[in-house]
Amino acid sequence: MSAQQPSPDFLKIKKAYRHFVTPEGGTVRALDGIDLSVASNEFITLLGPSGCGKTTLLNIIAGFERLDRGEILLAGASLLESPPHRRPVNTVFQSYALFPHLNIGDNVGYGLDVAGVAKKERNQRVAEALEMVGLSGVEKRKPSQLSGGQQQRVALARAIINRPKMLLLDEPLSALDRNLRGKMQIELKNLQAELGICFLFVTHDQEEALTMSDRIVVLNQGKVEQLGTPDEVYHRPASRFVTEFIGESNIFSGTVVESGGQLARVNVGGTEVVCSNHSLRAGDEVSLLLRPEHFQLKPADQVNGTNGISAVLEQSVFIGRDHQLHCRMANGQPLSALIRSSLSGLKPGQALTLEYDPTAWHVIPGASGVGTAQ
Amino acid sequence: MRSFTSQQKQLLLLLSPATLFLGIFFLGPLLIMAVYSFLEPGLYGGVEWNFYHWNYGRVLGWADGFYEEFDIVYLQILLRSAGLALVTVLVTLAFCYPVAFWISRMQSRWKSFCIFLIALPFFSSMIIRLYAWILILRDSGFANQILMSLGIISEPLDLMYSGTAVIIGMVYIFIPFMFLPVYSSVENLDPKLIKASQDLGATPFTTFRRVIFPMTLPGVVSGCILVFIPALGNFVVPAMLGGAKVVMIGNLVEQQFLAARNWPFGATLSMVMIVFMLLVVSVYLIRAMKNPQHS
Ligand SMILES: Nc1ncnc2c1ncn2[C@@H]1O[C@H](COP(=O)(O)OP(=O)(O)O)[C@@H](O)[C@H]1O
Ligand SMILES: [Mg+2]
Repeated sequence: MSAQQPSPDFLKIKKAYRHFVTPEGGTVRALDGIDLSVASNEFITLLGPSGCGKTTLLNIIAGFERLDRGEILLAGASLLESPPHRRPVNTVFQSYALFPHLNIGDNVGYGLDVAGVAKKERNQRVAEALEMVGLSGVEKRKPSQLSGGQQQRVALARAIINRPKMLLLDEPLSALDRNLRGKMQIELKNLQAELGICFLFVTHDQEEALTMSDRIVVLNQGKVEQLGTPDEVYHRPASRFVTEFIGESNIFSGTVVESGGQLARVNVGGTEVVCSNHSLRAGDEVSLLLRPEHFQLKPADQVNGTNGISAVLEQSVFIGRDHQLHCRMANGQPLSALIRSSLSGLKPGQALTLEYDPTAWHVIPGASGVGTAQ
Repeated sequence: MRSFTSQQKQLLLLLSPATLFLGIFFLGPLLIMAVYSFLEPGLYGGVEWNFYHWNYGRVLGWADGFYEEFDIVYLQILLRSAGLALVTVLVTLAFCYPVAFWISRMQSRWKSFCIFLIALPFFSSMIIRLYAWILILRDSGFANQILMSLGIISEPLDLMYSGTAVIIGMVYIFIPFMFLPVYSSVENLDPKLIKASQDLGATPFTTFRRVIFPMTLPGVVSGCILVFIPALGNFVVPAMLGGAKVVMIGNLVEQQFLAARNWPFGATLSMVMIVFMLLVVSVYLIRAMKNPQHS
């Protein structure tokens, strides 16, 4: 199945717009000019806060919503003219949407039954699909007799049995408990590799997106904020919104004091920070981002002056391998750092110096970055 | 003899007032009726306490066994009533099923308003509402006036005192009984299931056949039973809109008790009607018992 050449422009979404009129009479731009290309064997995730348009985009690809304007091509052909039952994509719905009046075998075999596949082949493929999702021998049971995790697997088996070219998954794991979720994340990823088809996966959980995806599309208010690999999105967020949404981060607004050579000095509310120079000029407004794990705690006498920030510890929280330190800088701004627990033994009120590597700062020009202002 | 667990005993104790009530006010009259149906009619109403099987003989076609010809007029009336009740069921269903879908897609305040409209007739007397239908259907009524002023007909249609008028009246009276159970099953149908069916390749018709209809079937069956049973026994609508032309089993029972004063025969007709209804409903009940999670 996975032998064919992956094509990079398998799904192409061009300038897709869709708005809704709310009951109060306002307008919501659910999709506000989405452009996207997805490869035929890619695990791609739509990530964004609730209400950013993820489900709307899936519904439009599946055929349950129409576009205001724009175009969607699948393998070069427009999708928009076909009704949902003729589109070569299948969906795993947010709450599974299993047919309660049919048993598991008939649920999974539904797609084959409506296509008129012969009984023998049908039964064999149902058994295969159930085996693929690790749930054999439950054909005779009703959906209500299965646990949430099992229902999830049935929904998956039902969606892949038609051998779609693309699978749409709308927050399929959000109803599962944490342990099961972690397990299903790995299984889903394996299933995608095994089938060699494109999975368009929707989640509002950034950890889930980072774990599973080949690429992540970060959506905000109907717009693509960033499209990139998990590594890019995490370490080089394109906007302040992405930074704030993905993982915890320290975000400072400041003014460039001096720049020259490799480094620039930035004044952040009275505290000076050294970062790498991205053709900055003195007087420029910038936003600086640093992940908490990029700070190091050094004894005060070992810090080489400029590459450290002084702060007072307010609270130290044990989170397994690491301690999370909530500190306050001299200028009053909060600062968060992740420190190996073995180095801890700190008390609230203690003065600390947190060292950083100047090249670790992610610099976004402009006071508030591209995204939401503080 | 079964022995009861203490839980079952508690339950029996709790249910006993209800059992007593049903026993006295429901089964009691039924029993009286069953007994009367085997007694000889009194000359001026009431009963003579002699066993008398010609009541049933008469329903089945042999009048008193002496001076009347073999005539199954009563069975014919029963069947005609059943036919009329069936037509009422089909017409109310054909009306309520699509309307229920339409209303279930509305915004919630319009929904409540429409359901209120459907239930509104309950607020006034059925007799008054049927008089309104006489005003609409009679020769000089609104229906004929409108049709004539539109030039669709030149002569007034003979609508009143016909089978058509009775069906119109019955459908009107029984629409809420069909609508409410059908609507509740339609409203409870998850739209995601319809999407899932389409997503898996089913055409709209297949989706209807394999998902929408089976999922709403319990409501449809309840509605059909709730309409069929009272429609079969209804005598007010045929009396008011059907005139003397349309005699239904309900009218017959009414006449036997109030006009002919032949109580045993009225009781017999009622018993036959009850047995007939039980036969019809038992088809559904047996299915429901075999497949409990569906009903
Ligand atoms: N049928 C609809 N009518 C009105 N507004 C809608 C409709 N569907 C979605 N919306 C609005 O569009 C926005 C995007 O919704 P959705 O795609 O469901 O978000 P997500 O799945 O990312 O949480 C939301 O603000 C939502 O309220
Ligand atoms: Mg959603």
